[in-house]
Amino acid sequence: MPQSLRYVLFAAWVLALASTPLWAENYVVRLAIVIAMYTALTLSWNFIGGFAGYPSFSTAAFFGLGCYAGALPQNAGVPMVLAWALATLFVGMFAALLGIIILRLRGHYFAIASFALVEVVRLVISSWGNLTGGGDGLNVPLVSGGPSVVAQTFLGVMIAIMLIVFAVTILVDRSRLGFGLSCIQQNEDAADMVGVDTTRYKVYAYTLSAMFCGTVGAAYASWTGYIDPSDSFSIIMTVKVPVMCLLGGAGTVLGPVVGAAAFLLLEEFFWANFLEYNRAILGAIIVVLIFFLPGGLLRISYSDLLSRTVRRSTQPGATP
Amino acid sequence: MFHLQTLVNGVVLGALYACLAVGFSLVWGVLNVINMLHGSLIILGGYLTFFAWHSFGVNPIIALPGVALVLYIIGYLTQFLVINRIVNQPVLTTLTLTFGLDLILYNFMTVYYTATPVRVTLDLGVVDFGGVVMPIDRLLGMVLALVLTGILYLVMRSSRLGRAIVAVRMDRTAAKLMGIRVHRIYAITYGIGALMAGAAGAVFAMVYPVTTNLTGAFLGKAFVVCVIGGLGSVLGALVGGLVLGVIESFAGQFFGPQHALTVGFLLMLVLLVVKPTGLTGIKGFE
Amino acid sequence: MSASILELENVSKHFGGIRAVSSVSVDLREGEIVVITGVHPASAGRIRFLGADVTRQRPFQAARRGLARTFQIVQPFPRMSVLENVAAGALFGGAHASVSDAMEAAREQLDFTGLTAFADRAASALTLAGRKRVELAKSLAMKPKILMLDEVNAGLNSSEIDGALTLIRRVSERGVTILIIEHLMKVVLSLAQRVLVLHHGELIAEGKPSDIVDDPRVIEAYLGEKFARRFKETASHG
Repeated sequence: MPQSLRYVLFAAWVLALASTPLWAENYVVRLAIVIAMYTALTLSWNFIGGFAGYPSFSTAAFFGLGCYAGALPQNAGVPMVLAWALATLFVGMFAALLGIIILRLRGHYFAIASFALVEVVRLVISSWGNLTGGGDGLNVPLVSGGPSVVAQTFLGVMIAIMLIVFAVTILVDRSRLGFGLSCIQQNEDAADMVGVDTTRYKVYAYTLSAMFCGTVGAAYASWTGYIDPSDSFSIIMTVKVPVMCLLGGAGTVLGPVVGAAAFLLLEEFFWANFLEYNRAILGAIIVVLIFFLPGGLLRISYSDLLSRTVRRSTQPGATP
Repeated sequence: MFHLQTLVNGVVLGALYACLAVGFSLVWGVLNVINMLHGSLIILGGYLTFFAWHSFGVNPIIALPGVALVLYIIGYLTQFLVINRIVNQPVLTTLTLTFGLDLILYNFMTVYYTATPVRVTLDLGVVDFGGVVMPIDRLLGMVLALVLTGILYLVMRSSRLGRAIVAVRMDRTAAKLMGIRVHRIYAITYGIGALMAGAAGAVFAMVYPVTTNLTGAFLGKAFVVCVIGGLGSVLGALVGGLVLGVIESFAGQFFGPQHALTVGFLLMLVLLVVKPTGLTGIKGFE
Repeated sequence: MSASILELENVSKHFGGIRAVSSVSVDLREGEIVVITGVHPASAGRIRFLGADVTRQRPFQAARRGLARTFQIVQPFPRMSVLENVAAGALFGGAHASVSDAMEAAREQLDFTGLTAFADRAASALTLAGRKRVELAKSLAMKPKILMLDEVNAGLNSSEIDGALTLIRRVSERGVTILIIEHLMKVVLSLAQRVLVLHHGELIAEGKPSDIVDDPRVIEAYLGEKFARRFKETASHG
């Protein structure tokens, strides 16, 4: 599929999401917001997990930090959008400093450390009751306007964030940084030999993977008006996001978009129709994905698949 | 006196942690697979034990071997049919797969058993040892945990199977060349991992209430124990478990119970950066 | 006293387990080919390039200062094409500004090493000899001051080695200073302008290939004391 066609389809998809308030009910608009949100998170993860190949499970840590880093300034009177920018900055710096330390680890150990981060940050926030409200949660000043106005506003916000991360993804993909990360992902020692400053590049990737999660978190806090530690630092989220990226094709530009959309739509379908077993079905999807789509949806050669199916049915003696 | 009680509490807790984590450590160290199912398998063991006791009046200590066997079979089949196919893939793949499997198991358990906490209540009273108080059922739990861990240690040390497993852990290619059927060892090891999880769950159910909500917490504990103690060895799990138990006990005493967990995780993070192979220095894979 | 460009600190074992540390400093003149032989690959110790300890540093720092190394075991970027592999060298070691510039520069190197036909093939799909060529092209793309080739001929058959030798000579003609660590005599004698012979960590001979072949210490080291004595006797008698 030529590149230009892919971007046209992407634009069509964004328009479809953005236009939901015009032709769909509230429930669908809400779904669109969630899709935009997770697409932004998945695109973010793609920098460290897809481009650099480091299996990070820190998404929830950065998202949650973003929630609080956005909520606290707002409660102190800072205007909403500025609070979001501050949250982005804060989470970015946090990730950069942390990255210098934990990016020395590889493989399993890195995965564990990144997982542990979620728990540690959650526990710290929970315990710091005076500042964060602890387990009781924190209220955030609500945006004025009725529910449909609020929904439309935040649909716009989440889509905007998604587009920003998408643009950054394209920039990185074509840049020296992207090339270097690809080298690191394929053979880190060889990358070092060839002149890539691997530590620096990994920290860049980790920071990029974090800062926009912070933005999404801060916006999410403003949208829902209430956050608490268990909601903001969800293990399910921190595992779902890499899975979405894998589903679409980690390391590609559009993979995260396709993966997040496909996953969430499937999840919604199963939640609506098989409420009791929806987790099991999610689990089954994941298992099937790992077995049959190791490279993700975007890396299947569809023309290959098509020619194979055609060939099979035209062979003599083949069952129709 | 005060601190002795805390220490004893810590040791008792630590023994349970060691037993809980040893199966996880084995699977990670030998198969290089992070088994996200581990927490659920523990709870499953707990539930099976409870229902044997509650519905059929079977004494939990007698039920234990049965539960262990059931879980071994489940583990063996899971590895043989599913996990063996992707066992050499990178971290993200294996972790995600076991996470997916765990979602399935978790869902079925929640639907079948519901999330109501259940516990085998053995009213055995309390023992007082010069000011240090310990409920007997907890003491029993500790003893059982240590016995189980000890049996596994002996199996690993002295049986042919144990030596084969260790060989695969050290160098799977060399093991293959020596005629060891690595994929069968994988299935057996995973089966043992599941067995130990189930047994730990059975012991746990005698001491504390179990519920599906605890699967994540147990998994987390297993991680921490492995990082503290070192991967792939029973000794590592024992050291890690005891250290964690004691630290949590003291942290709970000095900083309050809600911080006990944080300290554990912080310790794990620090160790990961400073000495990822843990206190016993046994290496897992990278 | 100026610091040498390259210093090799060699640690090797004598029979009997005594470790000997010796330092061999190599002053390389621009464009020459120097071969170090007698070094067991595994015992090559520390390497000091322009005064800084390269084995202690991160490899990329040495790469940026102009030292390119190839190793016995080839390490390509498996899922990248040959062109992309070489472009990596140009982009990072060779410090080209943009990816497209690096690709241009890479094409030149592919042309030079005769790999143009393979530009779009996956690097891992080539034969061993091909992959070694890619490594060389990648190293050249880094615009190195010194190219260090460490046992490059391992695993190659006779005709592949000939091809490699021709290529190395052409690299030298371009003005690149080359340091080769090699144990194959054929390579040592046909390629080197200067040879350093090490034996048990000590420098026992240095000079032109034709000179070291007649050097009695070298003969003794390679062929044994008895043979050396007989050789001397035959030489003096006849």
